[in-house]
Amino acid sequence: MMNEATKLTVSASPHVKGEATVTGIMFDVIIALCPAAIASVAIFGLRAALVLAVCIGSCVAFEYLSRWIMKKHSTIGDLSAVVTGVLLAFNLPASIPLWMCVIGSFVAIVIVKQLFGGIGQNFANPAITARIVLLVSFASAMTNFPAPKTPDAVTSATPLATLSDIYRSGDIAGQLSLYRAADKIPSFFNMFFGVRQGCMGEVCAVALLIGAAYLLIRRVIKITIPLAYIGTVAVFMLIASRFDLAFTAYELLGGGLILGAFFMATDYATSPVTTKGKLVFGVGCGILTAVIRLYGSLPEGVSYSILLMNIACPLIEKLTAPAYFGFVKKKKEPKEPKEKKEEKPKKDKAAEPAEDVKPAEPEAQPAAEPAEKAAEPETPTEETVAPPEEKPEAEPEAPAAETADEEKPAEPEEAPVKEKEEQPAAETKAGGDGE
Amino acid sequence: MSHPSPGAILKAVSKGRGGIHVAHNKLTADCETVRMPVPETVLLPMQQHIGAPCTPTVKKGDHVDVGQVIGDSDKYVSAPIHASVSGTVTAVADTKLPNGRIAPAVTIRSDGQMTLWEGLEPPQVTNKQELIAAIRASGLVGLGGAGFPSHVKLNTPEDKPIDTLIVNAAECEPYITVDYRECLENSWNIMGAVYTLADLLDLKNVIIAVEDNKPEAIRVLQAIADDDNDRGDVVKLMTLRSRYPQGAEKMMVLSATGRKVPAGGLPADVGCIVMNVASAAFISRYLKTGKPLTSRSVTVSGDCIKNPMNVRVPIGTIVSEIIDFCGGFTEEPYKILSGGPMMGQALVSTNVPLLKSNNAVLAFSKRSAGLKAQRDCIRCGRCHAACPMGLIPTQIVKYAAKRDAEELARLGVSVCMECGSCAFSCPANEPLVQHMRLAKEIMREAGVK
Repeated sequence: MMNEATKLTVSASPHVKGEATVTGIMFDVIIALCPAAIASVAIFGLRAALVLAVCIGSCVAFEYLSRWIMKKHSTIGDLSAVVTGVLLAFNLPASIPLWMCVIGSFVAIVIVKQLFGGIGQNFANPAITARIVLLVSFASAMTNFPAPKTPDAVTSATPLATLSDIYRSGDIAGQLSLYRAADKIPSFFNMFFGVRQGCMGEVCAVALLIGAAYLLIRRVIKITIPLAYIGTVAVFMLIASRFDLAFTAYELLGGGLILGAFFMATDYATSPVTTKGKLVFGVGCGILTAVIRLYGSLPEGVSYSILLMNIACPLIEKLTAPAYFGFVKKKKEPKEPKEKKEEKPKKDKAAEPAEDVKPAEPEAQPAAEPAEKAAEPETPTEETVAPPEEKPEAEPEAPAAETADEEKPAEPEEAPVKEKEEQPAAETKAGGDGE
Repeated sequence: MSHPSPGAILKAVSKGRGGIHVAHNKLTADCETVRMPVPETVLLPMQQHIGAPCTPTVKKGDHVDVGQVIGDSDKYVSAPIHASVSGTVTAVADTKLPNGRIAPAVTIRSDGQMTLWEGLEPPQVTNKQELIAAIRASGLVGLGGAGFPSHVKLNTPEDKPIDTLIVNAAECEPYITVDYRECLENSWNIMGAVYTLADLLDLKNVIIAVEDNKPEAIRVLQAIADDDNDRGDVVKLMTLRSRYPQGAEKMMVLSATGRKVPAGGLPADVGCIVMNVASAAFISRYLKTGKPLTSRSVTVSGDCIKNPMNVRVPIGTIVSEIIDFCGGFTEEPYKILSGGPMMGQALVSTNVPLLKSNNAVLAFSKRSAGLKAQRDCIRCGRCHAACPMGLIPTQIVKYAAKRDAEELARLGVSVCMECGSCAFSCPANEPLVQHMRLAKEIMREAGVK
C-alpha cells in the first residue's frame, strides 16, 4: 500500500530508457581500438606501449584538470578522454619524445575539446587536430618513423612516400613492380599485417579492420562514412593510376586511411548525423585525401582532409537535412506576388530568401565539387594536371622524384641517420607520411 | 487490391523509417479481463477528450442512472459524458486532471445497483450521417490513448473520399494488453463493427493491422477476415513488424497502405481512417445495445503492482481504488503512469479518476523507471536514426535554445508526435520529448506554422 507520505516522481515521457550510455559507447570504441594497440606494441616494441600510456594518462589528466579549473562536473568517467588518448597515440610515431605526447594531449583535450564546451561540442576531431599541431611544430620528430621490430621489415621511406614518387614518375605499373622486386616497398602481406613504417596505430590494417567490424556489429558507427571515404579514394586512385590494382591497393592499405576512415572520420561530434550528410562527408574526405596524396607536396592527407571536412560538417548537415515525414513542397503559386514584394520592400522580404541562399552558396562548393568529381572522375585529373604546368614549383619536384628513383634506394640502406643530416627538405621527402 | 486466397495474411506494405525496439513486457497478455466491483464513488471530469469541455447538465442531489448524459457541449469537437454508475450526484466542482488542467467534474455516489437509464435504446442507423450522430451520442473518443472524439474522425469531408479503414490492433506500447484482450475476447464485436462501418461508409478495404508479436490475436482475427468471403473479401488481416511506434496513426497508414499523411494533415487526406480496435468493438456493442461509453478496460501492471491484470472499470473510478483491486503495491512506487511507459502521463497522485482515454495504469519502482543523470550530448545521431518522422533532434534542441521559430519550422518540429523514440535511444539521457514540446511552444508563441 502507498503511504500518505509517498511522493511520486513526475517527469516527461518516455519513462523507460534504452540501454545505450555514453560510457558504454566509449568503452566499445576502446575495445575496438585494442587489437590495433596490441599490434602496435607487437610491431614497434614496448616504446609504443609507453607512448600509449603517456597519451592516455595525460589526456585523462588534462580532462580532469580543465573541468576542475572551470568548476564543472568531472567527465573523465565517460571515457572519452581515454579514446582521444589512444587515437592520439595511434597518430604518432613510436619514437616520438614523450613530452611531445603531453603537448599533443594538451592541444587535443584542453584547446580543441574543453575550451569549446567539452564532449560533443568540439568543432574538430581532437586527436587529429593535435596530430596536425605536432606535425607543424615538430616536423622531424613526427616524420621520423622507426622501423618495425621484425627481421624482414623494409627500412626505407614509408610506403606512401614511395607511392608518391612512383606516381610522379608516370610509369606506375613499371616502377611499382621494380620497387616490389627490389623490396623497396613492403609486400602486400606486410602491408596488411603492419610490418612497415608508419604511425603506431595505422600500420596494422587487419587489427584495425577487426576493431571496425566490432564497432559496426555493436552499431556504434555506421558503415556510411568509411565506405564513402575508402570507396572514393579507391575510385580516385584507380582512375589516376589508369586502373593499376596494385597501386590502388597500396594506397588503401598505406598511410592512415583505414584508421582515419573507421575511427576518426566517424567521430560523432564532428561528422553529420544525417545519412546523406555522412555520404557527402565521406566522399569529401576521400577526394581531399586522394588529391593531397597524389598532387600535394605531402605524401599523406588523411588528417588534413578529415579536419577540413570537420569544419564543413555543420554546413553539410544543414544542407542534407532529410525531408521530414509528410513534408510537402510548397507550391510555386505565389510567384507573382513575391516578385512584386521584392521590388517594394527590398530589405524585409529580400533578406529572408537571401539568408537561405547565403549559407547555401559556400556550402554548395564543397558539397557540389565532390559530387561532380565523383560523377565525372576525369575532371580532377584535368584540374590536377594543370597546376604543375602553371606552377614552376611543382616542376623541380617531379624531376626530383624521377631521379630519386635511382638515388633513393641507396640512401636508406646505408643509414636512416643520413637523411636527417642532409637537409630539412629531405625529411619531408623521404621521411614519409608527414602531412 | 488483389484478392488473396482465404487465410492469407497480408504483410505490411511499407516498413517506414526509424523506430525503436522496446522490451514488450506484456505481463498481462494471458489475464482475462476482470470486471471490477462497483466503486463507491466515481469522479467524472467534463474534459476527457481533445476538444471543447462539456458543461454539467446535472446538479448536486440529482439521481442519475448508468448511461444518462451528465455533461454535454454544443461545440462540434467534443463528446458527451455519461454517468458510469447509478446513484446520487454529491458534488459538481472543479477538479485537477492528471495532466494538470482544471475542469469541472461531477461526483456520483453509487447506489450499487448499476441501474441502466431507461432512456437507452439501440440507435437506428441506416446511413453515414445517422452513424456519426449515434457515435457522438455514445460519447466515444479514441480508446487507444489520444482521446480524439470518434464522430469527428468518421465525419470526413466530402472532398476527401475514404477508401480504407484501418483497424489498429498494433498496441506497440509496452505493458499494455487491453487491445490484445479485446481481440481475443470480443472478436465478434470487432467483426460486426468492421462490417457496419464498411457498409455505412462505403469502404472498399478494411485492414485489421496487428503487430507480428501477437500470434494468438492474429489467429483469431484471421478467422474474422476469412469469414467475409461472401462479401467480396473486403476485410483483410495485415501483420506489421513489432517496432515502436508502429501503432501511431501516421506510421500505421504508411505500413498498411504505403501512403504518407502530409505534414499537418490527417489520415483522411490520403483516404484512410484509423480506428483503435477497442473503439471499433465498442461501436458494434453500442449499435446493438445503445449503452454509451461508461466503462472501459484498463491494464494495471508494472513491477510494483501485486497482481497485474486487465480490469474493466466504470469510467471515473479513482485510480487508487483500481490499484487496490489489483492487490495494491508490492513495494513503494516511484512513478505511477496513466498510459504506457513511452507516451503515458506520470501521475502526481493516485487520487485521480480514470478517463475514457486511459488504457493503462502502470506503477514502477525506482529500479525500472528511475531517472538517469543527464549527460552532455555527444551528437551520436541515435535520436535522428530513431525518429519515425525523420526529424533531427540535435538541431531542434539547438534552435529551441536560441528560440528561433523560423528554423524550428524549417526542421518540421510540428510533425513530432512525441512518441519518445529519440529520448529512449539517447545515451546522454537528454529529455528530448521535453525539448520538442518546448520547440512547439516557441513556434506557437511566435505564430509560426
